[in-house]
Amino acid sequence: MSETATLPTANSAELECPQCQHRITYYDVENSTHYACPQCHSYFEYEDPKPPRLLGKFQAGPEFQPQLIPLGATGLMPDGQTYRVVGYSARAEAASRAYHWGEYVLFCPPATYAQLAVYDFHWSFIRPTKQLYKVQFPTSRSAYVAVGDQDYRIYNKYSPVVWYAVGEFDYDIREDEKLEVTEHIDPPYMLVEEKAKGDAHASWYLAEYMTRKQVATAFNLPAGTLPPPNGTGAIEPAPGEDTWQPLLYISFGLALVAIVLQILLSSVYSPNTLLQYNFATEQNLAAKDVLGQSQVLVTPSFTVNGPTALYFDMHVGLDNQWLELPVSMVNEQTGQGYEFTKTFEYYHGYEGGESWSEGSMNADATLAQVPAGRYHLNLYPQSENTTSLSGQLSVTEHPVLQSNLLLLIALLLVFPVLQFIRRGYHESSRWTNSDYGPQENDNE
Amino acid sequence: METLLAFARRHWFYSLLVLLGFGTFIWANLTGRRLLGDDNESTENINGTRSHSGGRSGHGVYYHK
Repeated sequence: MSETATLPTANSAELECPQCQHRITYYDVENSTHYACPQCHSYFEYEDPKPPRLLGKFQAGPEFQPQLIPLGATGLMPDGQTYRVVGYSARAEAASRAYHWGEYVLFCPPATYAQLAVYDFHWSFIRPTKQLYKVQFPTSRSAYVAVGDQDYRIYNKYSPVVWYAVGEFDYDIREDEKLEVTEHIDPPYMLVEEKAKGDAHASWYLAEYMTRKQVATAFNLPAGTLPPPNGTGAIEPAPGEDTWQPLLYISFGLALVAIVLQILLSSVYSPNTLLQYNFATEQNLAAKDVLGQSQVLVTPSFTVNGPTALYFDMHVGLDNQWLELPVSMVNEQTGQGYEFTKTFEYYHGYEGGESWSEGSMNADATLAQVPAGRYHLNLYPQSENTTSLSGQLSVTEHPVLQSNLLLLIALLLVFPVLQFIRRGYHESSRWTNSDYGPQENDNE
Repeated sequence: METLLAFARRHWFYSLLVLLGFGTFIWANLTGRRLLGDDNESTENINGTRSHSGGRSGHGVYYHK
């Protein structure tokens, strides 16, 4: 074993790997005790003045979970402190190495440590917290940690296995394999509980989600260094998280504005009844071969103050029969015509001890963009027999066009509804990665 | 107001949609247009060359209990 040479500088020192003699720069000169060589991947312990002690090698190589941020890189993290990457370890759950992630050890002199974890390229900045939290219903699937108004729901529970490491550590990271880790989430935050198996004392950590852009910016990494995340992260904020509440308030406010605007517009052009017409059908004697063909009915003239929509409200007294009513509106100055046809049918009876009825004796119609002018209506009623039928018809200008308002409100709701669906999908996708999600409850 | 402007900048497409929606709504109401269409079945032109055409759909077979 070679002599370890240290070259202390203001913030760092160097030592030699006892296996391959590669010179390793380390930064926490006071506290670091364990090292993993980036050259030969040997893991050894060194505490001055004792000579380095080789502890072996980790099971996997750097390809197990590729390191994306180099040792020695510095970055300004969300807590406002500048950290240096001094160590990196690739880990996996003891239950399955398929669930593996990377953990960067961040060091801020003189003795502040934090971690930057990456799982499926989702990043989280993790700091120890001195606060102790109480887990509600800790043995149940619904365990949670209440912090103020927020509940951190249990998301995952595992024991880690260290498969690979490089850099310096202020403890033997293999000891982590004795831990039982429980994650509780309230995106974009996570509370991590670490407890040695069989030990009642727990250490708590607070994790905060970071986008890859935030991480790249923090460490001044070139664009494209960090791959895009896979799937949905455990504490990845839902789409539009920061503007979701404002979006709801604004959409609701705009819907109210639309209603108020409708009322204002209705008051500027208030509905005005132009015609109230009562009629009775009469068999057209000239059309004897067409049973039920009534004589043409011509209404009095009325003046439209257009351009406006016209609303037609019609009622015909029916008794187990139908009536078809083509209506033609003619502009007496220009000859321009409008047409629509409404069919009325109303049947009723008594059957099986119960009364029944179907159809309606009422109908309505709307004509839009009717220019100003003098108009009259021609009605061409036709029924199934020669019975005379009486009815009423009214014409109103500047009616309240509720469909326009409903269309506007629907338009205002498109984006919030879209966001709601995206957020729901995101949340559902988040919990598919957990053994504690609602989907799991459904399967029970 | 600042929050509102920040929101509008962030979701400019939604803001544009809202402005277009309100503009169309006011224009339609002032000109008597129904955006979902109306019941007019006439195909004649402004010169009024066609009166009632007898183009009724005709009453088919009515269900009668």
